[in-house]
Amino acid sequence: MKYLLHFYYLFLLFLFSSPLSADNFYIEGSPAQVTIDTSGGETRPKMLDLRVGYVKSMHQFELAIMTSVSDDELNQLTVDVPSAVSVLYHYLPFVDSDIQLHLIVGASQIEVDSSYPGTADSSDSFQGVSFGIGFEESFSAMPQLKMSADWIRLYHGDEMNITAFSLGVHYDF
Amino acid sequence: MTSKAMANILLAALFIFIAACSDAENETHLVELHTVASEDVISISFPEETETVVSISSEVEYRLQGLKSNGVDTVTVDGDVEWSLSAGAVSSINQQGLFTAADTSETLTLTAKFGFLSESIDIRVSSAKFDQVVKLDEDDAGFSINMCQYQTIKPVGRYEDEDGNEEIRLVDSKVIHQIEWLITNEEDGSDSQRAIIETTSQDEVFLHSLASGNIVINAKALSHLTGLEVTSTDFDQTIDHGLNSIKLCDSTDTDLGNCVVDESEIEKDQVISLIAVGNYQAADGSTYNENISRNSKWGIADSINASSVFSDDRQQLDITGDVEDSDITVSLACGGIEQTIDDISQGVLLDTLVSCDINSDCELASQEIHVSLLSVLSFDVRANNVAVTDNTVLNLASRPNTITLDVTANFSNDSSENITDDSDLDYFIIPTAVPEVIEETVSTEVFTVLNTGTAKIRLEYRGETFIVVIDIP
Repeated sequence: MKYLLHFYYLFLLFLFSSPLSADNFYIEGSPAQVTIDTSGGETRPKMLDLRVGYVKSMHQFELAIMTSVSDDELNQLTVDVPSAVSVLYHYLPFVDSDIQLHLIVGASQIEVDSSYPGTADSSDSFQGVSFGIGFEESFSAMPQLKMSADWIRLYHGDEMNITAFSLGVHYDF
Repeated sequence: MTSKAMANILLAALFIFIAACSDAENETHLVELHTVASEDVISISFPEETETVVSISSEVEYRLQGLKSNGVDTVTVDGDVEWSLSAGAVSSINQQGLFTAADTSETLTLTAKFGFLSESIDIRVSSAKFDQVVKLDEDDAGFSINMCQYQTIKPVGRYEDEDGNEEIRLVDSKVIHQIEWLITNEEDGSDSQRAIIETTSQDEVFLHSLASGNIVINAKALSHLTGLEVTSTDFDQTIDHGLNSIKLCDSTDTDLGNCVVDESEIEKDQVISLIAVGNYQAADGSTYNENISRNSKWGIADSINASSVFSDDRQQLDITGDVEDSDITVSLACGGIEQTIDDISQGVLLDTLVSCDINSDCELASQEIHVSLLSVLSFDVRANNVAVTDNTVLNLASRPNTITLDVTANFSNDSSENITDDSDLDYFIIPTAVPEVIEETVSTEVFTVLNTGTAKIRLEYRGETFIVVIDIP
């Protein structure tokens, strides 16, 4: 957690200390399906993914906050992800292309709640490096508005992985 | 963006990348929850028949069962079980649950861990050696059984260690496969075909009854104590009649009380699966029904017209039609029959009708099965070597002297056959104009062209029709 806080701080410092212009900011919103994949099975809670960020040429920096929409069940196991916070850097290798490819790295903290008959309800927190890939395409009638799709491995562990797939809209100010 | 800001970001990313690491300690809990939930179990236990006394240098495959979340059903837990033995144990166990006993006696604790659930059982590795079977059941209470039923038996053996101490316990899984079961008729000591004892690869032993009467069971096995072959004392058992009636049903029937064979006709190469159902009289006066296919005697008359084989578990008989437009009779008996049977160990299926021996308890049932002609799914028709579509005009570029048809039928068993000359294929000219456009020749599939116009020929074969339409210039 402390590492993530350090990074939030650096991120905010960067945003407000750099000579930014308003039209470089963006917001993004999308539904997301989070897959918790373990060696024993997987569950797929659904979330709402909200992001704010700044784009500069081939670089994009963003803060992603996800909140729970619905939990998922594996037989009698109920799994929910009440929150996930990520700080992400996107590298855009083909800026002149109609469809933008995003290579994504960053860090995430994911809270996972679970309940199962015969055991106490529990909450686990996972922090770690995140990475992924995304695509983005502008609407021709309204270039500030884009469709975006991301696949991000939020947490890559030894015995389990947490992955988010989101499909939403992106608006450049 | 300034180069300083960019450097800040890169440094921060590098910092995070280095600092962040996976929370391995937090993963275990969630992984274990998913593991247990995937099997939908809420608790685990060792099955009741689990061996807790094991002979030295023997192997036992342990099994874990889980109680499903409905609180009623149990399931064998196969994967992701961690097997372990208490510290200091000389015996070993692999992660498939195969326990290898040490060559000296010891007491240990076997633990099976499945997700966050764990269960332990005490095991004693005993140096006592098997001598002979002394009982057919642990409680020695005996059992009642009717014709064509089966009963699980749990042989109990006498074991003795090097100090002469005797142990009476369930025969272990190694010895159980070394037992030869002898069954004789009580009245004359002759080899009996009233019952058979089967030992499965899962170390279970079943007595299958085929006819009523009194039998004597003996277990013959090598005594590990003396090195001599030892035959047990006599175990007397009565097989009761207990049967009201038997009948044949479709294998898909679940209501055994009301089931019948719904469809007594199959096409060639099609399969009909039948089961034998017995209606029994319970001690309280009620009746109940059981699938008795495995222990019944089956006979097929005109068996050349069909091939019959038991399913792997012998719970049904699968009959495949071989000869079109033929009949077979399936007969079924439970009890003593007149026909001689050489080997009853793999089920009884004779190529003749079975009939009851008037001197024995016996119930009989039968069913006629007709193997019908293959049905036709479609035709491939060519006229003068040009493909024709059913009831669709074929325009010829020039006027031929004759029209020759070539007909292939596509059957329901995915086979095809040229039926142009088949006597069952009928060709009919459908009049379309006066004077007529075509007329028949000596060969049924060849037609002489007489005039310009549209010629129509109807083909009929096994109830299916195809219309050839040709526009002749």
